[in-house]
Amino acid sequence: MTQENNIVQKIRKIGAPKTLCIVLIIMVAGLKLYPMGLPVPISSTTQSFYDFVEDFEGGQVVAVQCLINSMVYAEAKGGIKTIIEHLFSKDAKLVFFNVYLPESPPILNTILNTISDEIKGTYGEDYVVYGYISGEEASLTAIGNSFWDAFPADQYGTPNNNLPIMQDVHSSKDFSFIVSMGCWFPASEASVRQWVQTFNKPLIMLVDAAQYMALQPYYPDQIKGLISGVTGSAQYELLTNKPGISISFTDAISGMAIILIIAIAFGNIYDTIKKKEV
Amino acid sequence: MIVTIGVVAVLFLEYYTGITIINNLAKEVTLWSTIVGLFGILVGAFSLILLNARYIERKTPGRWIYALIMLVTFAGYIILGLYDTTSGPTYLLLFNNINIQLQNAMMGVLGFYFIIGAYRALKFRNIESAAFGLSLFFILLMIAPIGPAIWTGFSDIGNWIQMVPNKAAIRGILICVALGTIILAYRTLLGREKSYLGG
Repeated sequence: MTQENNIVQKIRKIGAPKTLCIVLIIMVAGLKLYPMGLPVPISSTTQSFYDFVEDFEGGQVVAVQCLINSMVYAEAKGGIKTIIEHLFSKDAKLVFFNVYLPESPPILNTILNTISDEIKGTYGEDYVVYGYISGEEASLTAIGNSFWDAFPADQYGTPNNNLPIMQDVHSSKDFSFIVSMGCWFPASEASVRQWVQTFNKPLIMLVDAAQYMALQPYYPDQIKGLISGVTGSAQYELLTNKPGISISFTDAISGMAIILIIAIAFGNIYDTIKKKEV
Repeated sequence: MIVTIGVVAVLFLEYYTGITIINNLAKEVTLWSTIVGLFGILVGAFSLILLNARYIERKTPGRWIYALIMLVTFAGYIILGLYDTTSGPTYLLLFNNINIQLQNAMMGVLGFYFIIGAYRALKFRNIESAAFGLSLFFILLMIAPIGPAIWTGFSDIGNWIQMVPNKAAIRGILICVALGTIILAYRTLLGREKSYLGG
């Protein structure tokens, strides 16, 4: 009893917020050391994304808009890598571009470096990476109208004429479909407006969990498949039979959800007790 | 203002008329926006350098040292980018081990803010806040694998919240935004929208 009182007194002394933070650290560390390995149910939006790529006939060029910044790198890298590998396995030729985030190309290069040459093929023939250009949504329109005018050369400065993959790609018409992966909300909405409404191209997306809710109204008519953050990426890793980093994050998500619920409950109970005391 | 009205008119006519000359003009205009955006970046970089140089020159307490670090890093990254390209090994080594790690740490800190914020701010004082809290509860347990593992109903209820009230609310917002954009375009076309000129 005295020992229990001591613990309560210690918590009071530390303060509830700090106690919750300590519990969070202990829980995340514990889950890292002893993973729960809970089953991850597949959502319908992730399944649609997977089915869309699976139905792809291959051999055609796919435009990949990569919008990753450093802040969401940890959340997005697993999903992005799995999607790229899946697209390569379907014999897709990938054209990576970005008109929103200047820091995206180096991050994309880091992810591409983790994929073996056997999977991704030859640079310039099977895939090509374009650097950042400014202009945001207006640039998306410019790319859709004429890719060559918007991007005359790749990230190394190689002109399009010298890139075999680009010989049959001139505008949005030449892309089979568009994959948008990343975390920039204006870009996601602009992609729907430009690629789907203006250029009439099928669009599939990987977005962070915050955007996922906001993009729901576009699914499944405008966005054919939608993956939500780490949880969606983990589902995609399961679907492609390539368990990776996203799966390992799912335990931390479970832990965080529990702590958040405890924090809300704790806050409300404390508030009620305080009111009664007054 | 004349330039703005002209650009809006060209893009408007391109969409509704499909006349070849206007189409080509619209394509050219959208391509120019990339160049204009690039100038925007240059102006931003220039003012950033000026502001930080001023801090160093005046030795502003608590700021000049960070301004110096910023300028040195800024110059260093530009030189490295030009020398090694953004896909070069040295550039990626520094980028991955400094930039990404620092930003990841920032995101990690946010987790603690969420916990403290949830503890302090999410109080069920009325029906609206209770509905908000309950939605959060079900969505959290739908996203986290532990939710469906405890009870599959969390998934169903979370999905319903996501697909019905959430979709309806966001669609309403989107339609309002679209109507607002049309009004803004109309006002710009007529030269009545002057806020972008600082008026």
